[in-house]
Amino acid sequence: MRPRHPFPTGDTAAPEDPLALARQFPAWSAVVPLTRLQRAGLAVGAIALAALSLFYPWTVARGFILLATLFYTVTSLYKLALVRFSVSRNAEIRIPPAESAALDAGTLPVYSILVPMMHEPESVEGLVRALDALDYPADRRDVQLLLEEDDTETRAVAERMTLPEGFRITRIPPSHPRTKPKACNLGLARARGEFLVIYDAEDRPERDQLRKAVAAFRRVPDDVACLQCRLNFYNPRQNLLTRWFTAEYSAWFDLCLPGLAALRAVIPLGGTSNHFRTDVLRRLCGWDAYNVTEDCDLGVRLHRTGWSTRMLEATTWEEACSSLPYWIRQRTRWLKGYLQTYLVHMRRPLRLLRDLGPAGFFHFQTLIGGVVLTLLINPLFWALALLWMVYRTAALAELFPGMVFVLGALCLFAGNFVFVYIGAIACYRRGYFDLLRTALLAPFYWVLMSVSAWRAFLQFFANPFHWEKTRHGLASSRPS
Amino acid sequence: MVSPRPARPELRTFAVEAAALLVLAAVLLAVGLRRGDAISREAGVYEAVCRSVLANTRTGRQALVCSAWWPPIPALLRMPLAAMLPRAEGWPFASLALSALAAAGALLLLLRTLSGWGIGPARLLFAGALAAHPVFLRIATDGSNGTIVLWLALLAAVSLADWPRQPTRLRHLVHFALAAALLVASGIELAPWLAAAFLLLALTEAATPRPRAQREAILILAVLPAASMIALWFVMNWLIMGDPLHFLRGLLADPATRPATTPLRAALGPHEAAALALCALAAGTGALRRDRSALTLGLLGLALPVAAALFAAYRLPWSAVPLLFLLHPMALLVLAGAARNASGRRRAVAAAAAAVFALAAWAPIHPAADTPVDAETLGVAHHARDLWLPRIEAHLRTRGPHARVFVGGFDSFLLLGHEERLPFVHALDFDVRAAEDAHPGHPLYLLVHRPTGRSAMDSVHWRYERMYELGSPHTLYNSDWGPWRLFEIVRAPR
Repeated sequence: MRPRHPFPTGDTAAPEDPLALARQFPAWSAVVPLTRLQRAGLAVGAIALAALSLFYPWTVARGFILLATLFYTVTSLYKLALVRFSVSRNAEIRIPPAESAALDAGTLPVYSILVPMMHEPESVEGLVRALDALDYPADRRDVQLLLEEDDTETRAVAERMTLPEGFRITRIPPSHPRTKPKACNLGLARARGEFLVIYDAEDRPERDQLRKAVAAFRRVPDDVACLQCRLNFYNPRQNLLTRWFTAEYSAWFDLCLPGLAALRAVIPLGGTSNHFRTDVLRRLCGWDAYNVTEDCDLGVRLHRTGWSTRMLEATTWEEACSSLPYWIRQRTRWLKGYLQTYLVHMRRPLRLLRDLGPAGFFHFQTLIGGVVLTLLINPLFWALALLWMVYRTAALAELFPGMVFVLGALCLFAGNFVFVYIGAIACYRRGYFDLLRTALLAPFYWVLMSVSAWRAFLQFFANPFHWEKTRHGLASSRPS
Repeated sequence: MVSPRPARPELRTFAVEAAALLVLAAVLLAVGLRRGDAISREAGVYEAVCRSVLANTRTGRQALVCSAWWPPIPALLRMPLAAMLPRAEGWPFASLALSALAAAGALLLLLRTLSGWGIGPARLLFAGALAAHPVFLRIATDGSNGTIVLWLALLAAVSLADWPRQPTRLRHLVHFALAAALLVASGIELAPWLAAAFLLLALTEAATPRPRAQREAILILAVLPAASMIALWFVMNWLIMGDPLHFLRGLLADPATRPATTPLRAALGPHEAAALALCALAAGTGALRRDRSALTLGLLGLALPVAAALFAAYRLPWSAVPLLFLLHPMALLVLAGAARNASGRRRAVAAAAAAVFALAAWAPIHPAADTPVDAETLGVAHHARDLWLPRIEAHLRTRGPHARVFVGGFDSFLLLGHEERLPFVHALDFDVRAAEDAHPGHPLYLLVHRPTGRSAMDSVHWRYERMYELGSPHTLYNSDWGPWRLFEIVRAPR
């Protein structure tokens, strides 16, 4: 099959340029957040909508509500279907511990591990200990701590330590943009491994994860370029926010992503614990240094270029953000990144449709664009529901004619219930039985998500490349 | 470099099952269309309700939520079909299509379950035994809710039976919970049966050694969908009817004001008795052998006549035939469960017993247990409409051109369809004062159907007790028109 994308197909030397994607293939990068055509399209659309709203306010409102209601209905059914598919046999690659342990150490390939860090001196020691504890031969691991040149505090701690065999420090020169993907691209250029994985500073991967990944890569077809592990938290019970966050993460990584994998759909990668074939990653020019959710973008790019991603049944434990202001910043960045990713890939919608196929295109719209859109419009519909319940405003009935009323009521009650129930199921499957009650209060959590979505939307126009760093080290407990 | 992505086996299975479902449903629908004279009243009422909602009328919205005897899920399931299928006088296509689809779904569910239980080709025999039952054939082709209830009850029962056997497979619990939630708002007559199912689950869990938090989590996951459904029903009644308990008011009214219903013994025939015996046997042996799956199925079967007896005792109208028909699939599941646990010859005996049991359903002694109004077909109802409506209209014309006739209850949908047909207007929630305020200066009338079957639960009968026999302080008897009685509304001085 002839690749349809512009990326090189043969063996490629590691690009030393961390901005290679933006320089060589700007159409695939968020370096320009909105193309001229997109800007013109948005402007014309906004003006047309404003003009129509002026002359036909009711028609516009009804049309908007109809489309939103249809979208909500489809999303709810879609999420249910994903949960159903998540229990399929082919949803995840399961490697029994005995199989990974039985791998001959002599045949294991060199494995590169990239750990980008910034202003996290308190995490260095624990991280090194956790990575050193991974069940993988020391002479086959290639761990790079990616430290910013001007982050003297973290560098000082790392350089004071006697690093174990296979660990090294890679300095990242200070330059624009100051993002994690730029650091990762430099790490990728210097990586020596056949496979490569990314961890965050506070991550605690399961000990046999690398061996499982090697066994899985040997089992899957050649077109599988990436394995995504499950992510979960080691401080789920710290406060209400971490409980909600854990329920959400469990639903996303334990149900939704496996469901997508079972459907062989495009998978928006999670920030860490994605294992790659290094050569494929280099051919695709690594991560987009300008995208603040470079992981999500890479997942889509992999799929568009004919590669696929699978889920690996192995967990990496992270720290759930326990502080509301930091949580909002983190979520703002994620949603802004989703918006960037959506707009980058939607520059040529027909091309995207051809690359992903109709089913893949649907997944992309629902998962990437749909998530942001839902969170943006949710407050409007909550307000309408509240208005209806408190004042029984008759005019509202006119906005929801016939079938729209039925679908709207179903979305309001059944749809919201579906999302809450999925969270509860995820908690149960993870064994977080006590968190199930918190999952029932998820609608309050959605309010926080909508706040972040609006911040992200505004920030996308004001400061698109700004990386709002998540503060770690606030956890009350650490994993053993 | 790039190899094609591998096939998606799960999707293929789904596609095959969906195709089988559609083919089977198409066959049943064709049979239903050929037996046009056997279409149920329920099919006509629900079709009109759907079209009324689609026409964005207040009556339609009220009809969706205002009565536990006309629950919303069957209407909501019909809605997309009603929106797509053409409207034709006397042919409730959406209802017929939904009945056929649900019947096909029930058969496929049975086949899938038995396949999961390791029963080989004999499962076709079990599915045939279900499909060949005369009541199954009737409810699959008459546009009623019978097959929806059957499908959901079957799903709830097999999921609840499988859960103790495979407690690591959460899907059994989730399927049970979702089926129960849909059942709550699909068939009020199964409410006691569902309560028994939840009780059974709670007892099973209490007897299972697990951490307390896990047990609580299981119960929350099981109960949450049904509880949410009921809560939603309350909220919708509060929003649309102005009274959160409106849909249950009929239940709370004095039972003495309702007509007597079919006694249980009249509804139980030899076939049902045989099914009950099988369920009792399964429950007994299940208890002795600590086989929770068999015990669950047996007890769920035994709970069916208890539910019916409760309804009969409180003089609540209940549709006996579809309810007691559920004994048949429950007995088949019990036999299939026995076949699963048995080997070789015993398995053959269980399959043969299922065949004999299925044939016995055709025995001539089959009680006609439904109330006359529930057994009445749509054709009969339409005939009555064509006969009486013009006469009432002519009668009213003598009273002046501005008369308004409020037609009480869900029977109004059979009389008027989904639209208002002046001088007749739908009155699902009739209130004398409100009617007077809305139509000042008009001669006002109220048309009430005889309170038989589900008609007895209409709001006009519980708001004005013994309305049909005695009238109310604001109404005067005017005239009788077949099953309908016309009252004139008398204005009280203000």
